Amino acid sequence: MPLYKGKTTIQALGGNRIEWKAQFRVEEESKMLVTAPPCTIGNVTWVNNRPARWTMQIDAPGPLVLESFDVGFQDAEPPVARGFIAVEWQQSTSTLFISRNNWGGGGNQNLNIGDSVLLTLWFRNTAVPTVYSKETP
Amino acid sequence: MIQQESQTVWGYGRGMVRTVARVTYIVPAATLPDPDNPDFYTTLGPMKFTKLAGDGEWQVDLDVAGPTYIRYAAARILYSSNPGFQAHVTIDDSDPDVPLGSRLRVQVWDVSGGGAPDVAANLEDDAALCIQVIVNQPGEPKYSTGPGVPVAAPAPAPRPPPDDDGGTR
Repeated sequence: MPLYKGKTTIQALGGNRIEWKAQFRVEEESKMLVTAPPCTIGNVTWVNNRPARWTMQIDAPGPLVLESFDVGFQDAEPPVARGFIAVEWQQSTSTLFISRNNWGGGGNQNLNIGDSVLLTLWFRNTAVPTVYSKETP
Repeated sequence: MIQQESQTVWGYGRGMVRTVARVTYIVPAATLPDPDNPDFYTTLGPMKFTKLAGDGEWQVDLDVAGPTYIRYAAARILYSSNPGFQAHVTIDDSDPDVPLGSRLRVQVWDVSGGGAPDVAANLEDDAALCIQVIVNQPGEPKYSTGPGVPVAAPAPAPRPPPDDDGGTR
């Protein structure tokens, strides 16, 4: 059951990606801490002094190819509202649009104090050629 | 630091491999939407995405050989205009000719129905389905300490002194 048998480690890991992680944590009212590689956080929409939507522009030269992403949500207490994190990627400006939304519609839902959003992005590393064992037709 | 001198693949979680891929639905200009047209989809990454007949229903084949043990799988949506999309992923073992752990089944949902049941939905124009999978990486473990370190054979028993003939005195 080998995965990518006979390939180098970087190929076995899926080729040529750069992993990029960020955490957003609501520390107190009107204050969200961001732990991330260089980026610019903007357009924060505050609802009751808590963030509900914001943008994050990745600080990297040239166009970025976002190969995939994953996102998690850490509630400070057992959740009482049904929500999830929605992510949009605008490649032309290397910007992510991040929001917490209501399950069932009804627009954005703000984060509570102590809540965290955990984001992982995988960008294509154009310095390394791509080799796959199977090509997608 | 753990596994500092090991290969990256061993340092990362001791025998796990992460692979990701993305399929994006883009309707060409001056063209009517057609979610069942494979030409409207662009794939990034080492997975084969096959749109099935049902709305928002996908088959995802991993680039693996033989049975593969999946430790983590996630399906996420990069939305374009409607942020109320979610995706569920399961390991698809329905085909006996496909080794276990080689195929996923994904269902995309529109959950913005305002209390109505969630509905299966195709991707919107310029939206993407993203998959992350972490699997076991089989092979000979190479640990810097612990069970992978070979244990030297015990030294032979000491020889008796030369003047010891083994008899009683």
